[in-house]
Amino acid sequence: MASVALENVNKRYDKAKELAVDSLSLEVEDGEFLVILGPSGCGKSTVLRMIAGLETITSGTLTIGGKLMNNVPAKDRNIAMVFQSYALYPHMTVKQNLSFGLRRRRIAKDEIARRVEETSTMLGLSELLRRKPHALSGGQRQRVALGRAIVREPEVFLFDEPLSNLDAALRVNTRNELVKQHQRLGTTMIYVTHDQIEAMTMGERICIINNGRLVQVGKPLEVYRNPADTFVAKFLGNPPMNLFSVHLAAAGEKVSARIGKQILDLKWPLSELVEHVGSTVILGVRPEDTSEIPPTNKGEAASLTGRISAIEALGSETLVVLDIDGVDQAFRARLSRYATYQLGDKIRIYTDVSSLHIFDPQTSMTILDSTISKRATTSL
Amino acid sequence: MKQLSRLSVRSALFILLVLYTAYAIGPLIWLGSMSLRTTSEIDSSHYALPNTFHWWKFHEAWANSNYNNYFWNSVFVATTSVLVLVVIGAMAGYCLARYPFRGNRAVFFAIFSTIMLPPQITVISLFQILVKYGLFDTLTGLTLVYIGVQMPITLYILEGFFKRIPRDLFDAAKIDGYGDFEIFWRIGLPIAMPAVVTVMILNFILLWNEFLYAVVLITSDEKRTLPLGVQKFMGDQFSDIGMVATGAMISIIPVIIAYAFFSEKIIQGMTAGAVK
Repeated sequence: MASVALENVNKRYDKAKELAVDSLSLEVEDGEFLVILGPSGCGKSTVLRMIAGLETITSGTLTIGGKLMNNVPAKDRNIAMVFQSYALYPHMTVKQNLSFGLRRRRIAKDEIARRVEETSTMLGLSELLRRKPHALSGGQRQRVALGRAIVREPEVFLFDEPLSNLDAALRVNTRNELVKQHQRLGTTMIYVTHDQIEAMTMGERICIINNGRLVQVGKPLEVYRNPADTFVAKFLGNPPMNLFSVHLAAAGEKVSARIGKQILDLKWPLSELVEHVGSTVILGVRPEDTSEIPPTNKGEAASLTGRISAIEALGSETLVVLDIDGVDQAFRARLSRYATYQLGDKIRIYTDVSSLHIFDPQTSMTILDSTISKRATTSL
Repeated sequence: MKQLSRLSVRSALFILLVLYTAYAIGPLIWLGSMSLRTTSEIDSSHYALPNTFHWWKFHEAWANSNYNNYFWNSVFVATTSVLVLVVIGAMAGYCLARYPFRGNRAVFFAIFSTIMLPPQITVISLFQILVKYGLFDTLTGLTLVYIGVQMPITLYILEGFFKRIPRDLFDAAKIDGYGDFEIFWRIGLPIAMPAVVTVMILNFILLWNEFLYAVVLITSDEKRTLPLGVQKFMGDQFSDIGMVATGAMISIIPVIIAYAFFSEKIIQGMTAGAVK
């Protein structure tokens, strides 16, 4: 087991004008399960490949277990990697695939046999050892790829979107299986994905990357509840957070916001937002923080009216899209499964003001982060 | 009604296949038949089947017309060229496909562009080069020429195949602890085997039948290859067409055997998609 640390790491591909990874600093603790999350092409796989030694680091330092690894070849880093395509050697049997890395390291034959036996039993591969990859299902291939990593007993596991080729049901099972393996092995794991559900359910911490830059690191719920900027706010959550430009105004000792033609009474003390009063900010509301039922504590609720332009009754919940007068964007709300609205209905929806988010329109960064975070934590 | 139309479609397809097979195999049967008939028999009736099977003609060609010598010359030249082509072609193809070094494409196109030149243009220069280096009228010289001539297409096929192998496989082997050559040897080459076998067979067939370079670069009788041996029976005034057919048959039998054994591999090599 080992910790992994990246400090001011940059990566520039030949001829590329922009950095693929830009001043990335990140520490992964010994035995931690860290998920790197980001959209396609954001540089997350590049980070993983730099840790693996498959890409050179343009500048900055990478240490694994406290040792500088920048110029150490991949084979000497004692890491194992599971690829999105599984990368099983097609001309070898499952058994040969599992033992390929061990044979190179001149491990005794008995020991190789023991490890292969143990790993294949653990992953339910014992019956498949003589088969070649083309004779395996997607799930079985995925288990072989995982087995090939486990059998090596590495200090760090790297996963590059290993579940993206599996169907939905198998993905859920494998997700749980990976978490169990992490608990059992206790080895440091770094997992790259663009799937927020994988990130939220698997990671002890998640690290969000956008355009090669680290945007936010934290525990999954922490990040979800307190997004550092509008990118994270929109990227995490499905449907994504509603973001609107609003004009803040003082209403006595409190603050209110104008959305289109409506005034939303934020009920926040003026002192907290005094420097933003009179200017435009971005207001964020998560769809699940809305309700068609007025809250019991009306003192903490704000409300908006809109006309329903689309309804998705999913059984467990009802998603509606509202058109708000004077606002270009649609507003998504997640209502109860019992909501029985028709297209064109005008409804009023409510939200607890403590669950609202405010972002700076210039920097996209959150405003009042700590205050809101405190409130959100206490209300949950 | 539906059954009837299905039957007629199947019958039409069957007839079409029979016709195509006759078209494809007809010349071979004709050659086979002529190889067992004498020239006078052939002259009297070109398309007749043999009344008597003159098997002695094969012995005559093999033992008395030096065909055993030509055969082993062809075996040496073709197999040596194919082996060298595959070894160098595979390594070069792997390198050009996998390592994006500066000038990679320039090297590839410099080699590949020579495919545009017809052999009639290069044969004179090759003749002079071989004379200069004392390789004219030697099997080694002919082998070197064959390697040079066939390298571009070999490289083209193998480079294309190596390129289609997902990078992840090589990365996985790297992480498993293997060096560049070992990855080529243990991962790249075995996966590319269908393409390797394809180029081996294609080159073997082509070089086994090659005539132009051989006729210009080989002059001694004991160094002739089989296609030149066939020419021996053809004169300006008279051609011993019966022996030409026998000689041609001797030269194509190994090719047919090779193709029969490896045709599946060739098709695999031609149609192999991405390795999953």
